[in-house]
Amino acid sequence: MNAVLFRRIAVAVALGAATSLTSPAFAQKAGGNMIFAQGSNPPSLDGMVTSSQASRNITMHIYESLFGYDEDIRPMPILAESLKISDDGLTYTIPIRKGVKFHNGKEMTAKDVKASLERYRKHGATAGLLNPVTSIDITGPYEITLKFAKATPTFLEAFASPRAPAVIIPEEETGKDPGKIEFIGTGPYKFVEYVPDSHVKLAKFAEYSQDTRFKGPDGFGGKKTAYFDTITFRIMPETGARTAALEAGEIQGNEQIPVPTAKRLAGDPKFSVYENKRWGFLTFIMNLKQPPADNPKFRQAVQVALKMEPIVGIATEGLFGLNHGWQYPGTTYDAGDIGKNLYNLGDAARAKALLQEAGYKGEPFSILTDSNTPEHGKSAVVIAEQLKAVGINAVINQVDWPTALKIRLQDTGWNGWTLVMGIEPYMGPVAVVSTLSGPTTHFRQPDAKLDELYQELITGKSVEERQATFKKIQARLYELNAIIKIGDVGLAQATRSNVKGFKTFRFPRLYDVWFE
Amino acid sequence: MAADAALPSATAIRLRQAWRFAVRLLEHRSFLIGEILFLAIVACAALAGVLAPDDPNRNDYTAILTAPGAEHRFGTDAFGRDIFARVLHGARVSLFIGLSVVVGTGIAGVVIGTLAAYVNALDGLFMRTMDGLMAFPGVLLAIALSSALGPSEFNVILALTVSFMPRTARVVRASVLVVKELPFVESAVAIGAGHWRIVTRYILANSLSPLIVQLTFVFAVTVLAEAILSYIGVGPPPPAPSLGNIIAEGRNYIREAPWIAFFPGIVIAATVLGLNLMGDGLRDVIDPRLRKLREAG
Repeated sequence: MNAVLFRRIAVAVALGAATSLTSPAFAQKAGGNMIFAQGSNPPSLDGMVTSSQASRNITMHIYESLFGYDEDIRPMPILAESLKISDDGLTYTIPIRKGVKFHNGKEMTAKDVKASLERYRKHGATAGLLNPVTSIDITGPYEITLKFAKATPTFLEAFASPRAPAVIIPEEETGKDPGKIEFIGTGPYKFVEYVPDSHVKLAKFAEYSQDTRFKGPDGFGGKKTAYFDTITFRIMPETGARTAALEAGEIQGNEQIPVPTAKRLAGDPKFSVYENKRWGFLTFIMNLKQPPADNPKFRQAVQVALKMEPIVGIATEGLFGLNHGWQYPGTTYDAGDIGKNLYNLGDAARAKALLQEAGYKGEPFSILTDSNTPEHGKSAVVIAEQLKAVGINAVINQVDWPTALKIRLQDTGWNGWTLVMGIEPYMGPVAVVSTLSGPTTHFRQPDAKLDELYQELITGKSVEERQATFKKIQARLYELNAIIKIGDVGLAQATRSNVKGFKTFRFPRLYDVWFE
Repeated sequence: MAADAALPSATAIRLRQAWRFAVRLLEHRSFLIGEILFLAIVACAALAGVLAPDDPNRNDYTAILTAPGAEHRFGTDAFGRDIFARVLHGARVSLFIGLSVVVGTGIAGVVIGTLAAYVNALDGLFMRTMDGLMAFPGVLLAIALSSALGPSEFNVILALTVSFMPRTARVVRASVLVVKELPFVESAVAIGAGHWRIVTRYILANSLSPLIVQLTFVFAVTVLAEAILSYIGVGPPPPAPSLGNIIAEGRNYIREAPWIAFFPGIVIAATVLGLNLMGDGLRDVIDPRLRKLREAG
C-alpha cells in the first residue's frame, strides 16, 4: 500500500512536469495591476480557518500547503518534497522543500510545518482530517513525521483537500487566534491590505520559490509564476455592477457573470468568456427533524414531484447538466444508473398519492434560501411552484447567506433548503458523503445505515472496494430522499481579452496569467 | 349675489359646497391629468385577473427572457414568467401597500397630532417622540425596520407607516392648533359641548384639508419606498410580484432583457406622477389664497 502511494506521488510529480499548464504559444509579459471582481467579502484571510470560496479565491495566492490536488484531482506535493509511508501504514515521513521563503523573508523549516499543523488541529475549519494523526514530529530540519493509530488509506486525499487547506505559516504566527495572524505565506503573492466591502490587495512576492519540478501550474500546485505587479480583488456584490465594471474596463476579470451576459459578451472581441461546466451540484435538502419531512412518504412525494430540468435550467440560466448521480458522470466513483428511475420525474399523480399515504394535511413547508447565490434563490422559487402544484403548502423564506447558514444548523425553523455543493463534488465521494453523515449531517437527523457506509468508504482499502461502497451509498440516498439531487451547475466567467493565460479552475488562478 | 327667499337646509348647503369643490377640482388641469393616470393604473391593477389571465408566478423554462411580442406583450423574465401579468399583479400589491400605509399613517397621525395639540400635557412627549423618529430619513428608517422584521408584505406596511407617520402627525397638530383657537370652537365650549364632540365635530372636521393633501404625497412616496425596499430585498418575499422586486430581478439583465425593468419602472413613474399631480391640484383648490391667485391670474 505504501509503495503504491509513494509511487503515486512520484508519478504526480512526473506527470505534472510533463503536462502542467504552460502556454508556449503566448509571450508572457510581466507587469500591470490586475483587478478581479468577486461577489462577497472573504470572511477571513487566515487561510486555514475558513472553507469559504470567497476566502479561497484570495488565500490560494498567498499560502501553500504540503499537498494539494493536481489538475485531475489527485494528491500532489506542493511544499512537500516527497512522501514515504511505512509498510504498516502507520508512519508518514514527509521531507519538505528547501529554500522556500515566507513573505517575511524567513526560510520555511520543519518547525514552521509542525507548528502550522498543530494550529490546524486546533483552529482548522476541517480540523477533523487530522484526527487519525496521533503525533506530528520533527525528524530533521526539513522533515516531519506523522504517526497514526491505525492505517487510514484515504488520509492523503483528505489532507490535500483545498476546502480549508492546511496551509503552512511561520511558527511565530501559529500561537495566535483565528483571524489574528499576520497574513504571511509562501505563495507567489503577498498580502498588502484588506478594506472590507471594498477590496483585498496583493503584491508580487519577488523572492517566491518556484517549484521547478514542474513546467507550469498544475491544479493547486506546480510551478507558479507571478506576472502581475499587484492583484486587487474588488468586492462587488451586485452582479450587474460587476458586469458594467468589466465592460467599462474598470475591472479585468469577473468571478461570475450571468449566462445571458456571457452569451452577449462572447461575440465581442473585447472580452474572453469561460465556461466551467462542472462547478457544483444543485441540491434540495430536507430537515428530517421537522414534520412533514420527517415522514419518508412525504419525502418520496417531493422526490417524484420535482421536474429537475426547469429547476436547474432556470437556476443556472441554461449552463447545467442533468445528472442523477452523486459524482460527475464518467469519473472514478460514478455509480451508474442507480437512482435514475426516481430522477427528473415531475409525476404529479404519484406525488399526490404519496402525500395521501403520508397523511399530509397541508402543513406549511418552509423552503430556506438566500439572496446571495442566484442558483439558491431561483431554484427555491421553481421548487416551491412545483410543490404547490401537487398540493404542498410551500413557502419561501429568503434571507441572506450568513442567516441561512445559521438557520439551517437548527433543528426547527426550516423544512427544505437549497444548496449548491461546490467543492465537495470536486473533491470526490468522501467529501460529499462527509456532509451527509454523522451528527452534523445537512439533514439534521443522522441515518445509521449511511453513517455505516461512510465508515466503510473511508476505510476501503482499494478503489474497487470504495467504488462498490459508493454504489451502496447512492442507492441509500435514493431510499432516504433526505437530500435530492437537482442537477449539475456550471459557472460562467469573463475577463477582458487582453488577459492571457486564464483558465477556469476551483478558484480564479491569477498566477501564470498576464496582460497582453 | 342675490339672496334666496327661503333659507336652504344644512344638507343642501353641504351638497352644493361639495359640488362646487368637485367642479373646481375637475377644472384644475393638473388634478385631472393626475386623476386619469392614477385611476387608469388602479383599474388595470383591479382587473389584473381579467387583463392578464396568466398566473404571474407560472415559470416556463422554454420561454426565458423572451422579448415583448404577441404571446408575451411585455416579454418574460429569467424564470420565463409573463412580465405583463407580473406588472399588473405587482401594481396591485404596490397600490395595496400604498393604500394601507395611507390609512395607517392617516389614523395614527390624526390621533397623535390631535392629542398633542388639544391636550397640552401630551404635546411635549408626543412631538419630541415624533422629532426623534424624524431624525432618521424616512426611507432609511423603513429599510432598517424591514430588515429587522424580515421580508413580508405586512412588515413593509408597518415599516413605512412608522416612517411616514411623524410628518402626518405634525401636519394635523399644526392644523388643530390653529382651528382650536377659532371663535366657533370657543362657542362650542361656551354652550357646554363635550371634548369628543368639540374635537370630532368642530376641530377635526375643519382641519383635515391639509391632511388629505399630505396623504396623497404619502401615497406617492410609499409607492416609491416600497419599490426601494423590494429592490434591496426586504420587500414582499419571492415569488410574489411587486413593482420593486420585478425591477430588482431585471437589473442583472438590463442589457440583454431591458423590458423586465422598463415596464414596472414606467408604471411606478406614472403612479407617482399621477398622485403628485392630484396632490398639487388638491392643494391649489383647498388653499383659498392659492385659489384666489389662480383665479386672478
